[in-house]
Parts: sequence; structure tokens; C-alpha cells
Amino acid sequence: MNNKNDSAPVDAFTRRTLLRTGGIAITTGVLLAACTKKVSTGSLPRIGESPTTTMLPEGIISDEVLLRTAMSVEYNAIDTYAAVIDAKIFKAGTNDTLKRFSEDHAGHADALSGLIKQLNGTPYKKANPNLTSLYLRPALDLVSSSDDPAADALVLAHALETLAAETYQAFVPMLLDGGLRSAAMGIADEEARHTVVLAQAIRPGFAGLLPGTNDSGKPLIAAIPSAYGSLSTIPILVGKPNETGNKTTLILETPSVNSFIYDYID
Amino acid sequence: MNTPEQKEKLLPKTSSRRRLFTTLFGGGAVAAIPTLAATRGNAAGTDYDTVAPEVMDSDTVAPEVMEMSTVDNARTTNVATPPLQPTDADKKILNVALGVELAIRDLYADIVAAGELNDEELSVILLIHSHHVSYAQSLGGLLGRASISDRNEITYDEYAEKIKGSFNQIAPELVVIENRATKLHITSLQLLEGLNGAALIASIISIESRHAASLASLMKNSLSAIIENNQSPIPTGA
Repeated sequence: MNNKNDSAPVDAFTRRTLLRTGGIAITTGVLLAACTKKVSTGSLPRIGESPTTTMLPEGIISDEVLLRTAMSVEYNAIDTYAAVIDAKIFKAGTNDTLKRFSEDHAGHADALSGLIKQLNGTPYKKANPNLTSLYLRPALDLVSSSDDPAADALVLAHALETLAAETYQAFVPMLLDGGLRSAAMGIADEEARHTVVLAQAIRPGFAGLLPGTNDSGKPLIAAIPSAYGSLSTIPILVGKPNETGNKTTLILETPSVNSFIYDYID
Repeated sequence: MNTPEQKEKLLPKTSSRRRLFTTLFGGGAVAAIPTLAATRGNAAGTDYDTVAPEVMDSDTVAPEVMEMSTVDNARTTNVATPPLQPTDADKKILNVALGVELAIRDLYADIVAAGELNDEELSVILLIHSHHVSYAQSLGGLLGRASISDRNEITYDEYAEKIKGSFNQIAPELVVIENRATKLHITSLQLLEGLNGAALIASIISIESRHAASLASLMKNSLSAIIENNQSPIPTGA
């Protein structure tokens, strides 16, 4: 027996040899691969035909683009007031106020148009499409289906004016020209006054000037909401209450880089 | 029973698996060294697919300005970026605003001290007074050692005698004061270069205009009188 064992082919090609050789080969391969320069194409491999992607032109944020964006917000306000007035939600008095606001926004748009032309830019005489699709159209749908459309329309108008005022304030440190900053805040001044008129329509009197909360702790609309102009989001509660009595919450925001009206947008 | 020679020959059989794993493990560790080194190189940042997000220094850059700087870097505007902090010229302009805010603060304080208002009137006046205190503090903070500490006496003297009496008597004067201060700040923006000063003044305008409109609204003024600001700015030389 021992003789048989002694004569066994210990160094023959066995499973152990295979594993050892394979392990060394894999290790060497990994070592060599790690030493090569990493090349990444940034895309996944694919098989077959696929449509080519047309990239958007690069948007450069300039004073002209900021003013075009502000102008689009003015048209958002004009369109929204037109929709509310056409819906005959209010009687003559409130409608007259909204018409006055709409005229003010048209005046702001004209002023911005003049400034844009001075920069050799093209005025943008349409509403901001992102604000329309994301905020205003859904909000108007909720107002029209509300159990109290008049109250909700005032809330929406207040939020819209707040958004307009915040937009100009947010643009001040982005505008390079001091004259344009001043012009922007001259318009924001008037938008802020619009918010006061609407806030007083919602919560009249002395109490309506001061910040406060309702029974469930949610902030009430106030004519003077804070010490400094806010740049935060604007939440509103509008629409028909659900089974628990709560209205839908919409959160409005000032235009960001994905909502700017770049010079390549017609 | 195996002889020592046989044992020696058998030993590799029992230890070879261990040796195999040891070899594989050792080889893997050696192979991992350049990979790990490359990963560290990635974190250090050049010529790699991923870059660790940069941590912004919130002590030196205001939030609004940080956002704008990010945008500018991404969109490569080739125009020189304005300074963040007030320039020497800015400091003069901001000190005028500070003097006016200190004067308005004292005017509201005088109204409160006179004690002629009821509770709801007083609550509004105290609120607006606290805002002007904040504005003066913010402007002083921005200016640092360059800030003045005295109110604008011309502005204070112009209105000190006009703000005596009931709420209905003083409110029209307060509307004028707020409107003129708002106009002053709007005019200041034409000249301010530093972004932090411009952003602060803009945020003050947003609320001072609301002060004026709110007070006008309480007086049951016409819509035009509430919305329009036809006042001249407080003179910068005042």
C-alpha cells in the first residue's frame, strides 16, 4: 500500500493545481487591470439602434435673462387675473381691484420690455410656462372646484403677488447692473403693496397685519408677515376640502434655473 | 502506520488548501493596493469621473450669494462678479440708510412712550418699531467698525413733532416716513456694488413697503393711495 502511495502522481494535473493556477491568473489579471488608466465613456453599452439626443443650448444667466423671466411672471399674473375675472367669482368691487392689479402688471411688463430692449434683448411677452403648468393651472382648477371659490381666489392672488415680489428680491444679488436692481425693487415695492391689499381682504383690520396661526397651528396670511422680505416657498391651501376637512396644499416657488426664460427661448 | 517520510508527503495535501487561500488572499490584497490608491486619488480630485461635493463656507458667503455663485460657475458668465462685502463707497450709502433707520426707530419709540394708543394700535406700532430696530442692527452688523451709531437728526427732527396724538393723527405721517425710506433704499440700490448690502437693502424694501401700505390700509385710504408710492426719497445728504 505504501509503495502505491509513494508512486502516486502528486504533481499531476489535479483540481488543486487547477484552482491554484486559476487563482494566480485571476490575481495577476486584477493587478494588471488596476494598473491601467481608467477609461469611462460615461454611457452604458447598448445593442442596436437608438435615437440620438438633441441637447438644449447652454443657458447663460444674464441680466437680460433675469428680466425676461421677471417679465414672464408678470404675464403669469395677468393671465391668472383674467381667468379669475372671467370665472365671475367676484362681484364688481373685488373685480375692479383685480383689474387694477392686472393693469399694474401690464405696466411692469412694459417697463421690463423697455429695459430688455436697452440690453439689446428680446422681450418675452408670454407667461412663464413652468409656473403655469406647475402652479397656476392646478391652482385655478382647485379654485374653480372649491366650496368657497372667492376665498380661495383671494388666497391664490395673494400667493401670486408674493411670488412676484419675491422674484424681484431674489434677482437683486444676481443682477449685475445697479440700475436694474433698483428698477427691479421699484416694481417689487408695488407687488408687495398688492399683497397687503389682498391680505387685508382676507384678514381685515389691525389683527390682519400681524402674523398669527389658526386653531391647527398653521400660519395665517398677514399683511406684514416678517421683518425681512422672505425668499422661501409659498404654501397655499385651496380647493374642495377632503373627507377630513383639509384643503389641498400647493407650494409655489420663485423661478429657478430650470424656469428661467433664456435668450434661446422664443 | 505512516513513516515520517509518508507524513511529510501527506502534509502538503492537508496544508495545500490553506496555502491556496493564503495565496489568493495575498494576491488579492496586492491587487487591491493600486485600486485603493486610485480611489484616494479620485477623492483628491483631478481627472476622474466623480468629484466629491465641495463644502461651502457659510461663514463668508450669504445663502443667496452662494446660490448665485453656483449658478454663475455652472453657466460660465464672463462678466466680473461684484464683490460680496460693501466697498468703501457702499459703506457711505449704507451708513445713510443706517442713520435713517435709527431715526425711524426712535420716532416709533416716541409714539410708544407717549402712551396714547389702544392695545391693537400699539401692537402694530410695536411690530413695526421692532422691524426698524432689526434693520439698524443688520446694517450695523454688515458695516462692522465702519458703522455709525447716531441717528439721522434731520429726519428725526422733521417728523418728531408730527407724530403726536391719536393713531389716526400719526398714521398719515408714518405712511410718509415709510414711503420715503422705501424710496431712499430703492435709490441706494443704483449705487451699491456689494452683493450682501444690496441683498439686505432689497429685503428691507420688501417689508417697508408693506408697512406703508398696511398703515394706509388701516386709514381706509383709496386703493391708489395704498399701492402707489409718490413720495420723494429721504435725501442722502440728510
